[in-house]
Amino acid sequence: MLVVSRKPGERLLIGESVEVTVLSVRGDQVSLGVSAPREVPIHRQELLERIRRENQRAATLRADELAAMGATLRARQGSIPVVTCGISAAPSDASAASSSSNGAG
Amino acid sequence: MTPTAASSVDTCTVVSFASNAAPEAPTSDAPRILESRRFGRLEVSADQVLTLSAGLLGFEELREFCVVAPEALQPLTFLVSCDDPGVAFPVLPARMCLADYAPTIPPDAREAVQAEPGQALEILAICAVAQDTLTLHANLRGPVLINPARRLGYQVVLHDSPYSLRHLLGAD
Repeated sequence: MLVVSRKPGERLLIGESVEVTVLSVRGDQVSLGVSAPREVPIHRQELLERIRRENQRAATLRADELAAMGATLRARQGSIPVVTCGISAAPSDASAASSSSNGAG
Repeated sequence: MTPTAASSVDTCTVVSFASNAAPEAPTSDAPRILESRRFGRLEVSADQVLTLSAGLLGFEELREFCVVAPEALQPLTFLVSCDDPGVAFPVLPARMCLADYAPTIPPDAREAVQAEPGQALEILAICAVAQDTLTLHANLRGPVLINPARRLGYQVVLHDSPYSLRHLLGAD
């Protein structure tokens, strides 16, 4: 691991397109500013880890848990509006139709 | 203790995607047969396969899924891995978990599912059961964005979001 000491206001470049700026240091908290192209995802590691754990929990469902799931859903079904379940192609969203383009070309 | 009949998932349907995209070359391939201990024998045709090219977090190697809808567990459906049918993720439409769910989807996620500008997409929440209380939760912090027209999916990580990783689905 490369270890670099930086002061607030100083920057670090990763490759040609990712720039990390130390904004401030207060006690044990460091504020970093990251600018990167939008195709580069920037994640807090602990959130990724928590979602990974949730996925693992969801994938290892036991039969009794499955039964509990069914029971909860049946109890809910009376009280919530039932949205179309499963996957169906949604009709194209026409809400952003402020300008009409008449096919030129 | 009486055995619960609900644990036997007998009637399962593999969900087809109502594709409104230009018809692709007709798929003459024979359907893929998946043997799942939980769902039995599943016949999955090519146009029923959902591709998550980045996988799901922790399951990055599993890219192809089909959507299975067991009748007994309606409205719950399952994303079943085509590569490892033993791996199945229970999902619900996120709006069914929280009626006014409206997360800000980052542009890279829309790009990942090749969404057209303004195209409406499906958002699914992966559900899990708490082992101690047997309560059902939905993950609204890491929803799965689906473009049904292209049969592409992507798990979105929502930073700085008010939505819960374990949204309790109570019976009210």
